[in-house]
Amino acid sequence: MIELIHISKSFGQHQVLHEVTFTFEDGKVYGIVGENGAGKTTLFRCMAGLETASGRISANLQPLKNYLGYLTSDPYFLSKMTGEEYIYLLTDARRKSIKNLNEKNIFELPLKEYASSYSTGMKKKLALTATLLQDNSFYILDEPFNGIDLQSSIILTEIILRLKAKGKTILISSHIFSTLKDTCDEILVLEEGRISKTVKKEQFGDFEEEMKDKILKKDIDKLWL
Amino acid sequence: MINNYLKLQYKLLARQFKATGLPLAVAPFLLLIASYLAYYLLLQYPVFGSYAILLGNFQLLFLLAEKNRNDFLKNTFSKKDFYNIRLLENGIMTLPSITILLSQSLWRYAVVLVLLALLFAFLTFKAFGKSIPTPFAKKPFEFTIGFRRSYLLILLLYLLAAIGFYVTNPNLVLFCVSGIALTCTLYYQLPEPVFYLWNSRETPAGFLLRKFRRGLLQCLLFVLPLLLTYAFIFSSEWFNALIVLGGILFLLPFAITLKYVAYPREINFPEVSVLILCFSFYPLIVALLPFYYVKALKNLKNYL
Repeated sequence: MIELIHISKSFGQHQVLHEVTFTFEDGKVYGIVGENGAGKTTLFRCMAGLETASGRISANLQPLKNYLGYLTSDPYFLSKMTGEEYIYLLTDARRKSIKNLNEKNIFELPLKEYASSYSTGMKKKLALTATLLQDNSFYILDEPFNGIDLQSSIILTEIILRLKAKGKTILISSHIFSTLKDTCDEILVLEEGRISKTVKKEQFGDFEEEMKDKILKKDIDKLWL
Repeated sequence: MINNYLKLQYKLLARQFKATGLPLAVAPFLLLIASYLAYYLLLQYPVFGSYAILLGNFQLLFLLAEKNRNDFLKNTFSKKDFYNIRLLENGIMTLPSITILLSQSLWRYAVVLVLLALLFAFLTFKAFGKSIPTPFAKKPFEFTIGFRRSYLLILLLYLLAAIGFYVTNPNLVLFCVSGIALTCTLYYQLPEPVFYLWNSRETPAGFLLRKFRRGLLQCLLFVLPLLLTYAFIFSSEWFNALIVLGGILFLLPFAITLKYVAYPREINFPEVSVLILCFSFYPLIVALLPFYYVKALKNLKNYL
């Protein structure tokens, strides 16, 4: 369980998060949606301890960062480091020894090649593989479906469901609603740094329609179409 | 066109220098001091000093001949301008060293350096598509990345050491061992992204001690074969090998400590000054190591 209590964060004069309060329960998958700049990544970074924030973040496992796997939206790899070495680096940091890495390479990545030379999708899959092999209790996946191919999306959806079945807590941000619909138990809508709405699984259909109506009425009429 | 390119290079260099926190006016003085040190090195040790100067220049010329860099220049400039730029760059880079070598009448070394500068202007070193295998792959990342960036220099130093054994020149061997150890300390110049550190479960002390242990083991993998062969072949001078080994055992943890004192920025002027100071009086490392160790621990608390 992770509890956020009145989390606020500002960058200079610009307040990005406003008193965000929420409890993420064990064994559940949460989707976070919001427009670009709504504060999703900042919220994740605050939870991970990569940004300082006011308020309180508590978890049943402490320190939270030692049990948290964080897939950043844009994973960074040092030059001249192979995919395999990146995985060893991240698992070694969590004191996990990996045997038969090739068998665990489910995305069939060229692990002996330099990670910096990978395509965007491959980089994402590599970072995801490393994060998964850390075997954490909580996962934050920032835009995990971005840039990856259809086959990998199907694999990733299955992985998320299996992690959930093992009692892990997962937070996903995504702009692809269908992926959230398939995986999440609850979706949080973040607007200008505030949780404006929480949507339960049984309400996903209505929510999707509501979103479509709102967005299409607001924007598409402005086009000549 | 070439003029604009050189002006841009100057601007970039000036910007990098200013990032160290020092005023630009200091740069010529530092260059003079470095030249004087090289001159002094040659005066004291003509042969080893020449090797050191050649090796240093070789590394710089190698960096300038990197494929992506050359591809960019080729795309931007005509073929003629490209070669003019590369010749000019190599000339500017090697000129101070050539002048110093000539001032000591070390003609042979000066000619070798001129030839190297000319040759490297026409060479491009491709990055390998496949990675270069290293024995450190499972324990990333400083030595894996560092080795891939400096394997030519390491090979060259090994070759020189082999010559040292062949011509029964123990000092040359020790010079090469020191060169390899210094190259290893440079591997710690590169700060990793904060995210890499964030992943670690270690306490700051545990993290640093692990880095020390790994760094030393990996460095010893390079230098121990040479030192053991040295102690075996030049058995009457085994104590010198022990002194060099002792030096390495302190130098590497010191370099690691300085890295995490400066983190998340790169090791810069203040840390380099401390290192230079320690090289002028080596026991200083032993005295300063605990002080910087505590500073590094404090800094690491922000990230671990």
